[in-house]
Amino acid sequence: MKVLGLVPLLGLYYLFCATSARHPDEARIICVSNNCQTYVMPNGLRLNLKYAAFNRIRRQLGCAVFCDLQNSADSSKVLDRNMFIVRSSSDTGFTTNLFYTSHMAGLLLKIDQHPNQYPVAANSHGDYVFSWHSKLQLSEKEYRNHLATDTVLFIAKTGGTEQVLFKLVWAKRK
Amino acid sequence: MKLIPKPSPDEYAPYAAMYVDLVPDDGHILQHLNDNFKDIQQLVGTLSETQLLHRYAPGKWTIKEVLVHMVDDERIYAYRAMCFARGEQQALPGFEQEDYAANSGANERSMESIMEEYEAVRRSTIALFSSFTDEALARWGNANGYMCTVRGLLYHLAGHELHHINLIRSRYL
Repeated sequence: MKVLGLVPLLGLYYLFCATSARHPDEARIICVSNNCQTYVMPNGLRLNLKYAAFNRIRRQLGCAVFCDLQNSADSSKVLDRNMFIVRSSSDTGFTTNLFYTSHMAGLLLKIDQHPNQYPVAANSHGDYVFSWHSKLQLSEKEYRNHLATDTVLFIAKTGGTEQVLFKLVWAKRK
Repeated sequence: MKLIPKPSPDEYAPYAAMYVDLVPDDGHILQHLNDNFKDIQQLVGTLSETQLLHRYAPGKWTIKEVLVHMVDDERIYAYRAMCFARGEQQALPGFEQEDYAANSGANERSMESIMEEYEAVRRSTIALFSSFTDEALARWGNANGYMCTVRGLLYHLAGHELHHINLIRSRYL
């Protein structure tokens, strides 16, 4: 009887966890140049921008940019993750997160951590995610205030110069 | 000039506290708006075209873009205040400052033109808020999803200007 009573409790616990998971706050992408949806790196790798989002995880402001990474060449190329940074108009400092992917190994979910020098096979493409978290911890109110007023710049650093590819703002701000 | 007491924090959007906190509590808000314009005239009046078009980091606005943004913002907030004071019941839309700045053409304008418009908007703002009764100043409305009062909008726009003046002094000069 006691064991049977645990089942609905576990069900409720699962339901609570599933429904209390925080949704990211969609970001709107504002192009700085004419076509910021596609960026070709000096080595020929192509980033096709898909979407971006903000979130507050572990009391830190998170920012993620989801791309399709494409290598059309006949040889493998390397994406240098350190080439891309974000900077906010409020000068909030950001730290780059590692890139993780997951896959199923039998019944187990395996998490893969990728190096910042990310190899891309010849004639291939796939999802790639850039993400950062703020160095400072923020209360929920502070996080909301950032979304309401802040602009995040997505910057590519090439040859000692910085190029702003696009700006990110909270989609609901408008 | 008319005295307008500082609003309570629930009378403006939560994020606007960073602006409203910059405004003195003495109620002489309209006089401060009048004086702040003269301060800005002095601050930017001596700057060269190179300084006015300087970005202190990639992607940042120039001083000209900041000034036109301040004018845009004041005009929009004054319009919202007029609507609320007249009893507008509909929610007013927000605006995206990055879009507005990108389309402002500020860098192609002369400083004379920008400051002339700035002065006209400032005079209009002071005249508008001077005309409001205490009852009108306390009326509520919804703009960009936030409930706020007419006087809350006034302190918001005044504090927003001070915020940008501080940024110009600390980052550009």
